[in-house]
Amino acid sequence: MDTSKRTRAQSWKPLKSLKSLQREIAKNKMLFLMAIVIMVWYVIFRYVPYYWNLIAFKDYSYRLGFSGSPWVGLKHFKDAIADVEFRRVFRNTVIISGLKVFIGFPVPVILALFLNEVFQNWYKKSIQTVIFIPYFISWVIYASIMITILSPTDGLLNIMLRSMGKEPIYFLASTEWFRPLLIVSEITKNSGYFTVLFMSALASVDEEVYDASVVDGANLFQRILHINLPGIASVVAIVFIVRLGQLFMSGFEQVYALYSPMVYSVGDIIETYVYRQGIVGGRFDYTTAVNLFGTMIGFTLVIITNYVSKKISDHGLW
Amino acid sequence: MKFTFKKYTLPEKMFVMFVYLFLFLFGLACFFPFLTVLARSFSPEFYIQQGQVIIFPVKWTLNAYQKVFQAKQIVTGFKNSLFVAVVGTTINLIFSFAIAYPLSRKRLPLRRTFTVIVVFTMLLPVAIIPLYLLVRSLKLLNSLWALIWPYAITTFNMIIIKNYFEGIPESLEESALLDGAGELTILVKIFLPLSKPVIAAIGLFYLIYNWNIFMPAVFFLTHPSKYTIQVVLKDIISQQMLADMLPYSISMLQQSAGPQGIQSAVTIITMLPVLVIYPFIQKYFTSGLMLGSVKG
Repeated sequence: MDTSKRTRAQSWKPLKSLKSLQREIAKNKMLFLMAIVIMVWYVIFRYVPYYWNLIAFKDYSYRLGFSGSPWVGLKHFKDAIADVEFRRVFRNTVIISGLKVFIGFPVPVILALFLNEVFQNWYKKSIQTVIFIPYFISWVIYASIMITILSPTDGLLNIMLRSMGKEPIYFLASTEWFRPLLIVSEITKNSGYFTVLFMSALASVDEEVYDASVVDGANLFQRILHINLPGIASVVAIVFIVRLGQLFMSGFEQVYALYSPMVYSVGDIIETYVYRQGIVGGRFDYTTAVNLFGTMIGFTLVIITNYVSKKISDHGLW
Repeated sequence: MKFTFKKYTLPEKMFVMFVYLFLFLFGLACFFPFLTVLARSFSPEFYIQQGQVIIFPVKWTLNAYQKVFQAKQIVTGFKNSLFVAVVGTTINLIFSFAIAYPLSRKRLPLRRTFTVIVVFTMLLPVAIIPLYLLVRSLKLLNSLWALIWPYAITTFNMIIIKNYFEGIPESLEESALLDGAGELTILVKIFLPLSKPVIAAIGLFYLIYNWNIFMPAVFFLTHPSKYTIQVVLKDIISQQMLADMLPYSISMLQQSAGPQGIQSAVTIITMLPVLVIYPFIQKYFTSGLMLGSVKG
């Protein structure tokens, strides 16, 4: 019993001699084997693709394969920056994602704070249920619903417009309407998820703090601003950082399901561009460079925001 | 402390009323579109095009659903989606538990190294083109397995299981180990029975994920015989958008085939599995399971 305790104590030291590692593995052979088997999956399906990102610096050809294709340095990145279409796509991505984060992000915070003020449990429950459902529905289904409602011939909105004596609008083919539609649909589809997340954070705010605030004469608004909002701040900060990291890779399904060549000028984003140029057009090396460009900016943003958030509020991902 | 409406001052009362109204309108904006599509799926094409179907079906009919089940492409799509959902979720659960269990045990050699390898994949998402090349070199292109193997583990879900396992005391397994039980026996006989709520919750997440999987399907599936229902629906709505752009030529087509009703019916059926699962999902969500993982 005594010796087994000592070996375990040793195993916590960060640096272990090879021998004691061998002994430990021998003792937990099966456990180690399980981990190794799954690590094989991680290496094949995650780390090999990470490594293959390097074709962004190569002239990839199917015949030569990954290792046989010659290095070309930053050629594809230079091509991308010189390409008018890429610059348009990049601008669209930043605008659309930025609007989604800055307009869309406060909505679930507000919804959670509001729902918390509802007295009737049934009302709270039913609103929560209704706004939560769309999150679990795929973007294709949601797009199908949107197309139905926005149809210029028999869509609900245009029936209303026509009954008011106005010209029908084909919203999804309109360069003015396409971006606002992306933002609004993002909000109505996905706010519920974060609302529920924030509400369960609100539920853990201490009851006694409320009691004390009433004794101190705080009103409803002061309670929301000084108790509830700080109560969910850490979860909000974490969700915000995670979403910033996804800035360049969260829109494919939505945009691909809704866009058409008529709105490429305002709606085409990096991921849809990568699909058309890469899969349809076969430019694997160039699109990997384009993708890498976005990934790196997202990754940098996460690191910066995490740093700033930790400085200001002491909350961060790590 | 219980707050009541009566005790509020006038500005507070007005604010609360605004809150109720705002929530009602937001809920309506989320819910109303679903009702319209549901009503359309049960209405004859003629009334849909007349713009008469709003939230209730006009002249109730099952015509659209009958047509859906006769359309070969749609039925194939359902079968493919069902395959991915069932087989995919099974593999998801097996793989996730197989790694969550060792990672949760302090006696796992090189535990820190394994954890870093795994967690890093959450910070840096895998790029789709290199993944496409990998799928191609594994000869998985245009196979439903391309939607299963690269997505066998969602690390976030796995971490939830791992965190839950960490709460199971080591004394439980120690006595079993002394009795000579193998690791698999401990996982299956001790850990799984203790973590039924997590299995259920994570299983449902995976199930919905697999049913909804779309981007990989667009990238990796090239032949219509392999299309999942999501891709089939995307084709249907693309035709619908085209029809919206060219009202004259297609309106004849609409009357003969009734694509509007069919589009609505397919939308409803594709949504149905998610709606059936939804109440259970909501239960686990509100229980704070996810919150723990976000904070953790």
